[in-house]
Amino acid sequence: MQYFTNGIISAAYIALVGVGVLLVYRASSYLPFTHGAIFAFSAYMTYFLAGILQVPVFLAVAFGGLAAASLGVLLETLGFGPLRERGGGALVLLIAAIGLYTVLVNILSLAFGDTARTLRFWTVEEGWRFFSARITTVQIITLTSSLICLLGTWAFIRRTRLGRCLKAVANDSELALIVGIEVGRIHLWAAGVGSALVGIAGILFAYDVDMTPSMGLRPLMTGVVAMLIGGGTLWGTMFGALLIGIVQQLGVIWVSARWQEAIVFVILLAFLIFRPQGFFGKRVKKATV
Amino acid sequence: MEYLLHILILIGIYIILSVSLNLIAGYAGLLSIAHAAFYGVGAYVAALMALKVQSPFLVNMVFAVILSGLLGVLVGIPSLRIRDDYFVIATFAFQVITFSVLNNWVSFTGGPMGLPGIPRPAIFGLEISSHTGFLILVGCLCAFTVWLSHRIVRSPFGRVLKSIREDEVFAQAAGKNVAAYKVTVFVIGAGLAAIAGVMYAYYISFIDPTSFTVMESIFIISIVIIGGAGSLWGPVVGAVLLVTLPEALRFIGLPTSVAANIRQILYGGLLVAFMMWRPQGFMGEYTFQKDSSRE
Repeated sequence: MQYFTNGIISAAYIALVGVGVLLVYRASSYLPFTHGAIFAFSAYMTYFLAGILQVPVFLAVAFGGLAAASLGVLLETLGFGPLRERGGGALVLLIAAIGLYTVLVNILSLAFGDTARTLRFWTVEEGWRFFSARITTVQIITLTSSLICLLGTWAFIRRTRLGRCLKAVANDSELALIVGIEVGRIHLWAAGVGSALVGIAGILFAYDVDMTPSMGLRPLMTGVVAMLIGGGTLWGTMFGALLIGIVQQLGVIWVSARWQEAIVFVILLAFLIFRPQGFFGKRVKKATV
Repeated sequence: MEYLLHILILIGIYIILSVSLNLIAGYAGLLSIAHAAFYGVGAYVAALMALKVQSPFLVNMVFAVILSGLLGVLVGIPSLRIRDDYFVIATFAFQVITFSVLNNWVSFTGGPMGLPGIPRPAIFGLEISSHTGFLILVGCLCAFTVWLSHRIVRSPFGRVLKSIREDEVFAQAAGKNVAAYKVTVFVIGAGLAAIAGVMYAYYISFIDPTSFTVMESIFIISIVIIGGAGSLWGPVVGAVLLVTLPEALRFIGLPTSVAANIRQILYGGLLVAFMMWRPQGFMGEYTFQKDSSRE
């Protein structure tokens, strides 16, 4: 039971990051490797505000999320947007994203050092009992806030005009342009909302565990795995995250905690080789003429 | 003087790595961030054999190349089913799994403690222990790698690789066995990377998993891209540039802790700048652009 709850909690981070990646990947068709840096950036911004400047926690968290969104928008305006205008394809954008990730992470490391820091300024209390499992207050906050964020994203896509435009761009950006959707603006929105989700995940992670400048790489890749397993849909990604979260914990029971990461990527390789469209998806990326 | 020789040896090792990756990424167009995995496998196979079986240098190198080549088949196979960014993720997965094995299989690989005390290599009774000796050896292997790459690229095999890069469907329609070509180039690239790994293990005489991380893979692919993917000399220029540039920072008097960060910022920034203004790199001909023009 304890493992099960742990699995669900790590699924919450994975789902947030996965959906954050998904939004950008579908709307702007490149893999936002930079999300790994944004994950850490928002956590450090919150740390800077709450830990060093002593700003109240709620304000600091809000600003951290906002900072993540603005960094995402900034990168899109100065980096990915111009690259796309120059005709850069998915691989060019991915390479640039890897470069930007490297730059951002090292700037964080210069500014804050490489030692692990935590946002948790209080001692860990025993927490609540939930059936036979222990769960801390931070973890409850994590679960509820990520659920709210995910449902919010779903509502944003399904219920708002902007969200529907985003779907249109994801399906066919040329056609979307023809019907008069400002595709550039949609790219910005995708980057902003996606980065905010990733940023929130980063802050929650820093509260629950701790933070280092390169902390974002692992959640980023796990999020990508969740997205691929889910076949590139919102619900699929959340399902993928849940699957990974639980399998990781099963891995802890059956094998050893050290092999968690390898297990995730073995699953990914299996999916990529045998079922590249994911559990639910239909789109397969194959050769085009 | 020792310092200069050390830098030259490092440049040599990175030339082998980037020229071999260029065959995969530059000519066949398969962007891979798993090269540090092959590099690491080469280093570990040689080190383990030297330490546990005490077999001679050349035997170890041959074994390392073969084993790494076999792993190359494993990474090459996904490239038959998936493309572009999905493939990049697959190679990333392979990189992470390899690192995880090196780091966690403690009883065999020494785990995070690494493998110390790798003996000096000896070729036909001639022991190589000085920097000069290593430089000559690395230089020869470098020349061999560039020569082999030249032969491959100028051969019909190389032309088919390029055609796969430019238009896979077309190559297939022309009757080429695309799958076999892709896997073969991966085997060659992986085998050559293992040579670099073997040299690194013997030269430093201590290895641990941190030398073979994702960031290392990203560094190698940066060399290829900045130098120029799909050109024979591009990766060589890239390796010289990216290995010496950070060393120049040392002379400005930056403390080592800062210098490591600045070095990564430098090549990360270069990567972005090149994608923006010169995607073919210094002297390359391939811009990782096959899909946007046709989709």
